[in-house]
Amino acid sequence: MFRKNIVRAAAVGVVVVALVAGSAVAAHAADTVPPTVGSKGPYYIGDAGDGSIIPAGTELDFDYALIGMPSADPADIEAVFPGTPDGETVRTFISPRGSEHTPAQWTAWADSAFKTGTKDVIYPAVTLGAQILGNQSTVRAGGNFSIGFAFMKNNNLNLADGDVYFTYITVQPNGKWTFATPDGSGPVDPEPSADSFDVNLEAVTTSAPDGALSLVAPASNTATIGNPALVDGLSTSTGSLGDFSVVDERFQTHPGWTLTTTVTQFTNAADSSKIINASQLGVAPKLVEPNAAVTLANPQVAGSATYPSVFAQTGDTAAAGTAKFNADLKFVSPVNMPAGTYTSKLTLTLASK
Amino acid sequence: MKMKKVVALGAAVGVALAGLGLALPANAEPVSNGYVLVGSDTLQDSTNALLNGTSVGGAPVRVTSAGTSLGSFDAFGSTAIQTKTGGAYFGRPAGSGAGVTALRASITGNTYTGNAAVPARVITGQVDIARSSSGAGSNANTNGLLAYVPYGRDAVAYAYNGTNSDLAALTTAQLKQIYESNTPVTIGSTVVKPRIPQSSSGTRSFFLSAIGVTTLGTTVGDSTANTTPENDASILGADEIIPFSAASWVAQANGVTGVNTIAAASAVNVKLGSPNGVAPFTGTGTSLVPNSTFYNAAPFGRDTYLVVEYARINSSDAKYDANLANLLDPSKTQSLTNTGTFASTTGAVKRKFGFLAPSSTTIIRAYATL
Repeated sequence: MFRKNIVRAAAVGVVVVALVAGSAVAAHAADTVPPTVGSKGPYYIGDAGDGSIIPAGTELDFDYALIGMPSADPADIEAVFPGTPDGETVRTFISPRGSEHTPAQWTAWADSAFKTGTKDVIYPAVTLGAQILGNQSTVRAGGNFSIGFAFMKNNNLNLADGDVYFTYITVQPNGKWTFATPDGSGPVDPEPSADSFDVNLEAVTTSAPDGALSLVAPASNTATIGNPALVDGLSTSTGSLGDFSVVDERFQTHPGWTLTTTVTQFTNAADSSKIINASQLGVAPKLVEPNAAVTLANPQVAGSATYPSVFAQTGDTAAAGTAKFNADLKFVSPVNMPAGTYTSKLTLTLASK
Repeated sequence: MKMKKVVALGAAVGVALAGLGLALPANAEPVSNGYVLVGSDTLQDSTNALLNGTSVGGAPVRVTSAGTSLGSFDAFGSTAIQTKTGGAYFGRPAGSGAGVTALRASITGNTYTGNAAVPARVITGQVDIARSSSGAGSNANTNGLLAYVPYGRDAVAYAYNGTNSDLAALTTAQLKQIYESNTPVTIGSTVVKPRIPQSSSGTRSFFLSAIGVTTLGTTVGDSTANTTPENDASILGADEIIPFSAASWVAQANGVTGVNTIAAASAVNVKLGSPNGVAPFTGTGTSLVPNSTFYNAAPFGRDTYLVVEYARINSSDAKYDANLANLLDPSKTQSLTNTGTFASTTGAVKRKFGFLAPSSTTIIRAYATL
């Protein structure tokens, strides 16, 4: 009997997980949907019957008629979502979280419309059941999604500059659902002033077999990557590693050396469960001063970086003497990760050949 | 002999192609993915807007059901329609009475004949809702198998084509005289030429009942077996009058309908009369608003209906369809029968189409047998 139960659980593993999540929603509906990240602005949910704001934590029916609103203030009940001249069409959608800006990845959607005579949008449908195109049954089956609308162009192929407004929702397998309520403090893009992170550098050296080979660490062991900006809808931060040096005075044997970069994953300072892969950090090695004996490695590109990676190296020809380095750092946050401070550790390892 | 056979074959092919050509226009109207509405011309513009999506109420509104779009088929157009995938082509129900007849055939499985151009067809399951601008009348029955669900409040006035005010405010008695008389009736200096919509029109039956006419006079043009559409201002010649839905007039004037017959060149002198001196609407230009005084008063105010098989909205019946019931539940913000005023309600859309809230939300059952 026990074995049979195990087999059944394995066979319907996804369903079992979804049910557990559903129980949690019923018990703690208000705080189980995480804050929305990546929306152009706050996306409040109102009753289509009178525009009243739906209170946070309300459990809603799949087909209950609802509308999106940019403000929770009753005085702003007729406020619109501002569009841009390039907007041609409007669509409401339900998408996997993190795919709001990619129409091809939406789960279900429906055509909507501008406010008559304008390029703005008012009261877009938030009714889940009204998203009749795509695969609504996937949403009905339950899970974590976003619901919102997009200003579009090119026959609904691409997003217009008006961008995308949405909020996170959690749908139970019975179709009941809850949503994340904006805090009303303005745009929820991942670009608050605190959006930076520290990088501790560890300078590890190996003993020089014949003469001096050493690594001189930067003046500061913390590199800050800040100045976040939205690039293609993604929070992109930049910084500099700081000057450091490799000193190779093995002029007799000059066997050469390899400098290697490793990076640990980034962890949210406020919530250690929020982790961003090290591949999101781009490192572009550069020589502060020319050095003909040194070969720089190709940059690691943010989003597809792999570590460990070679930073620079020399061959068995001549000792490089003092080679002074720095690196441009670029960090691209995935769209589905909350704003905040993330920390990681970058290690440069110098090894003799 | 060979030559003759070739000629005969050619002739046969020609006939077959001609037949295909006749069938083609019916394909231009797509089938519905969900429930199907047919019947009244008066209600069609508003249901078209609700089902196809509209922003006339101030916000985008589209009525859907169970994850599908719905289909509302006009009262006039090609002679045959196909409403659902794989379903039969059948005669287009032209008006309220024809819509209810088609709904009954859809339930019983009996054949339906919409018009002489299309043979009788079995249309089981091809119609879900009939639009009706008239009530159940003598077919009302407390155990009826159909349910008339109130849709909106309309009123029937008359449109006239005239350059003076002789026909601007006819009384009920004058209208009765005009439509019963076998000799021309003169009002002021105008010899009135009465016309009447086709016999399946709910507006026709309601209007005649409202003015107390049971037998049309011989002066009424197109009085028998006619195909005159209702709510078409463009068909009226000089000094002609015809019953006209106030809601349809408001909707056409407001520019929210697909076709605006009021704006036709031939309708330049056509106006909506004020029966008994009460104007059917207020406002001017494209901002007309129904006049509740006229709409609510007898004999010209009327509730309009969506007709459905009662069993399908009766939760204790095995045929109960919760989605269909929700679609006709006025308490649902975006149901077909909602009468709300907020911009994102279906009621706001219906107001732009000239409909006010019905006088009652009570369902009327009709037809003890189908």
